[in-house]
Amino acid sequence: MKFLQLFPLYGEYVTEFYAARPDLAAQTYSAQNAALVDDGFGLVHMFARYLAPHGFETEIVFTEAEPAQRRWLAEHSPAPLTQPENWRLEIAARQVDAARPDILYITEPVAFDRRFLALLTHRPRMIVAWKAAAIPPGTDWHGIDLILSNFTPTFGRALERGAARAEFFTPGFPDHLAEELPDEGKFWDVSFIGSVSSEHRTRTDYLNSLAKGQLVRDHDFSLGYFLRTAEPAIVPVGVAMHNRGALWGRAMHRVLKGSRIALNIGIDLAKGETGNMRMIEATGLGSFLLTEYQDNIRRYFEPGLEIETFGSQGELAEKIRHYLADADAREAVARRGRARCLRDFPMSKSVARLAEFIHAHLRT
Amino acid sequence: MCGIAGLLNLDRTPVRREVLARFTDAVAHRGPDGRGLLLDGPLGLGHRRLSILDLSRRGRCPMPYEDSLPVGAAAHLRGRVAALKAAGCEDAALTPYRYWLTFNGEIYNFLELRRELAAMGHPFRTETDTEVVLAAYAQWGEACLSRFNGMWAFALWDRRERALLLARDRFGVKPLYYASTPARFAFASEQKAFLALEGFSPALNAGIVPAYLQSAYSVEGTRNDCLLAGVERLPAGHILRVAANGTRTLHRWWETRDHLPAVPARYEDQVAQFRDLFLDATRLRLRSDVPVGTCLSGGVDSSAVASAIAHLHRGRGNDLARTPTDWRRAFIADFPDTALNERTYADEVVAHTGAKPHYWRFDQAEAVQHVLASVWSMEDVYGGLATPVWCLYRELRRAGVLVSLDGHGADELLGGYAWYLDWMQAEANANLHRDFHTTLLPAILRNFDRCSMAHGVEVRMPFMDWRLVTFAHALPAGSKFGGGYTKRVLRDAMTGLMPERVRLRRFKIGFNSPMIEWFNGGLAPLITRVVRHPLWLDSPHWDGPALRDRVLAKTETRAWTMADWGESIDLWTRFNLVLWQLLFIEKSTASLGLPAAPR
Repeated sequence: MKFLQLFPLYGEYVTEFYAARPDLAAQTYSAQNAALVDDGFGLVHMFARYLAPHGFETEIVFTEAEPAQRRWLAEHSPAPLTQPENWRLEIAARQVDAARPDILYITEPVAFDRRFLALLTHRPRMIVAWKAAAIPPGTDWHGIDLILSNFTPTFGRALERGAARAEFFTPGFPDHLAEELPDEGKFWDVSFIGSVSSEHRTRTDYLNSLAKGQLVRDHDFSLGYFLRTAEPAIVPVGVAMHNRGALWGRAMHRVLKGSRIALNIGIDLAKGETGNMRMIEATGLGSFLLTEYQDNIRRYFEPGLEIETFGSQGELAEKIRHYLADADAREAVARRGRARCLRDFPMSKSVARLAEFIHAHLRT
Repeated sequence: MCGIAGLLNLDRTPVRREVLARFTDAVAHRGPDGRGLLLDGPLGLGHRRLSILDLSRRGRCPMPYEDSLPVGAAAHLRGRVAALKAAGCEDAALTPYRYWLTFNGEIYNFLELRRELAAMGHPFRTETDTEVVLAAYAQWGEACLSRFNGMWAFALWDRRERALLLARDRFGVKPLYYASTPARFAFASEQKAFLALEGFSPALNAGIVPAYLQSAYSVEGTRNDCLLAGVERLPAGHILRVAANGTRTLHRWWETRDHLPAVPARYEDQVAQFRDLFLDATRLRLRSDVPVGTCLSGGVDSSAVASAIAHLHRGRGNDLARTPTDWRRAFIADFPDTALNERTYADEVVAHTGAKPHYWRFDQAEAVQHVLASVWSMEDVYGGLATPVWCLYRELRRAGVLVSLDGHGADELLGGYAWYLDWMQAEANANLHRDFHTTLLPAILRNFDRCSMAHGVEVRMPFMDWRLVTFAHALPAGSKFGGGYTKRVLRDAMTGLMPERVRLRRFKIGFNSPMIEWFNGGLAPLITRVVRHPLWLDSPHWDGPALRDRVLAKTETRAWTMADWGESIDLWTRFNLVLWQLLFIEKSTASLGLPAAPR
């Protein structure tokens, strides 16, 4: 059975990725595609890489990787694009039509919604998509058989937008990842990796409170923010001051693994709910996770035992002070968090669950 | 560095010597080394001298200058004037000089300017910077100001034009106030001088009080009127020309934004250029004929200055002309067992630089005794007590160190405060410009001037060098806030020059009074008296009885905590205002049940 995953990338990541590999754009599509897979961007979502043991023949398409996509076009479908400005959608549609997958997995179903499906001449037996964030107005999910999410407000909204079904699902941690990364020890006391934007006011306030705290409290520690800042004008000086630039893929995993404390703060929209991928990545890599408290936290980890939580700026500062001072306690929590992650959220479980959804759907 | 004063009688009556002398002596603390007066009919210039450069009598002010006389004639006339002066006659009508100057400040690049002016034929008879100011004015007119690297407030009398020129440095490091009536124009280094001026009736400028209560920090740089009704400050970077008939012309001669240089695009090059400028700013400020020291807190800024001084002396080939041999003394405030203590950091700098430490141990009971004296010295209303600063500069005077190179200005120039981190990046540079020029630093500069000059000690600030200031203002915000640090470019510029633990410390302690401890302890008796005083209870600006009850309840039970820090600042501003009224308007603290007011 053929499984094709459409995988989004940030434009900044694509630019940096190719800038670091100046010869890659001239290579074949398959070489570029393999290099992108190997770099590990969004690995916890990269199911195409792990589904083979479940009987799937898999393929992954990085829809934003323009050099690779145009190379695919040149190699396999040289006819001119009918809408050059829509190259992302049109090339991806040709790829789907050429691959003729049984299962189409759309990792980013806002840009790739019904308007994309309308471009396809091949109709896969099942179309699955993932969404765990805000759904912009106008998004149309008619034609999508199953929306997966770990953010409960998505379920009702998915059906409203036309999806046939919605199910709870958690991406998984690839257990080979921690071992593949070199052991460099811990080189950041506290790190945060993510985005700051107008949708992350709470996150921004927490990050700035830490920066300010270092000036007014006699407790110094290395503090690294690795931020994607699409709206730099609204980033406070204290946050910008610590920003080392966005990280993706292996570079991101390396910093997570090298942090004594990995911070996690959700998007404003997710009030009351947590479950973003940073939790799984940080714990899986064996780092101490300090995350904003949300009501559903115990669905994932036990606070105080497997991870630690905070509910205010003061508590955040206090927990950092405490756990940087008590390495034994910190490492014990990190060990238990990793064990929980590998037990409950391994990639093997996620792909098994995904395979179950697929088989169940195909049976009907 | 001195105190200046002057009178121009617009009704053309001659200035009386005793009137000018009393007015001038009101700022005697700024210049304990002697008084100089010039009487020229309706014009009188006064000067209290703090001898820093050329300690001889030749360096006295008011100082004359005339560059148009043949050298021989000038020498002859100057000899005659000297003889007349030695006989006690200071009437300029007997002298041939066109210009007379009363000067407060330092022109740090005076040696370079002197060489340039001498090459143009200007004669010099002293080793002072004052004479360079005169020659520069004779050569370039008002344009001379932009050639000066320093701090100053001066008055220059042009006898030929019958015009008085008042000028203040770019950033307002040195103060200058004036009061004008139809009959008289008067100016002085400090407001308190006007209390000694014949015919001046002190009154509170009630209209300015709401501005102080809203933000006591921002009044100094945003308004020209003062607490003392009828007194105005000459704004920083401005010139005031007063004609003999009283016509006044005020204009700005400096605007920082007009002088921003092109800065290197590469951050590493910015760092290198900043380091060169900072070291040169420090080098120029070491020029002195009396001992030079430094106030060392252990924070990044003062430690950078102390380290730069040591670095310059260690290096070979640095031009340290006119630098004293006594330059190693570092004055360290020790606040044992309080949150203000930075002694361990200061000691690291001492070890690194080879400085000779002079510790001043903060004694709460002793310091509280000087609260009123420091309020008198500060002569303004501020959201904090500067008593420890006042005490520390007193230590310098007692130790015979009359010049201190300090780290003031760096926080406002390079973004050192925690609250700055709330700014959006896009607005950071504009906000720094505002705090540096108007809303914060001017008040801080005023406080340091008053607290040091209360004891006849001159404070020099390498971070206020105009070349460094314009360079810093031209840098992108990321060069000031970046790499995980505030004041980023300074920290990187000092790599290898100062102890790493100090260079990279983020925790910042201001040189403040321990307000909460004082509210609960030593200051309580004064607070209790102030809030029961009619000026407090009947104030039109706050609910006196209600605030009294609140203050007494917390003070009597020693219930002030660090959570009350903001409130303590607001309250002190009000206490300060009442004390100011008692000291400056009523001229007595007897109604508080306290001994005579300090003078």
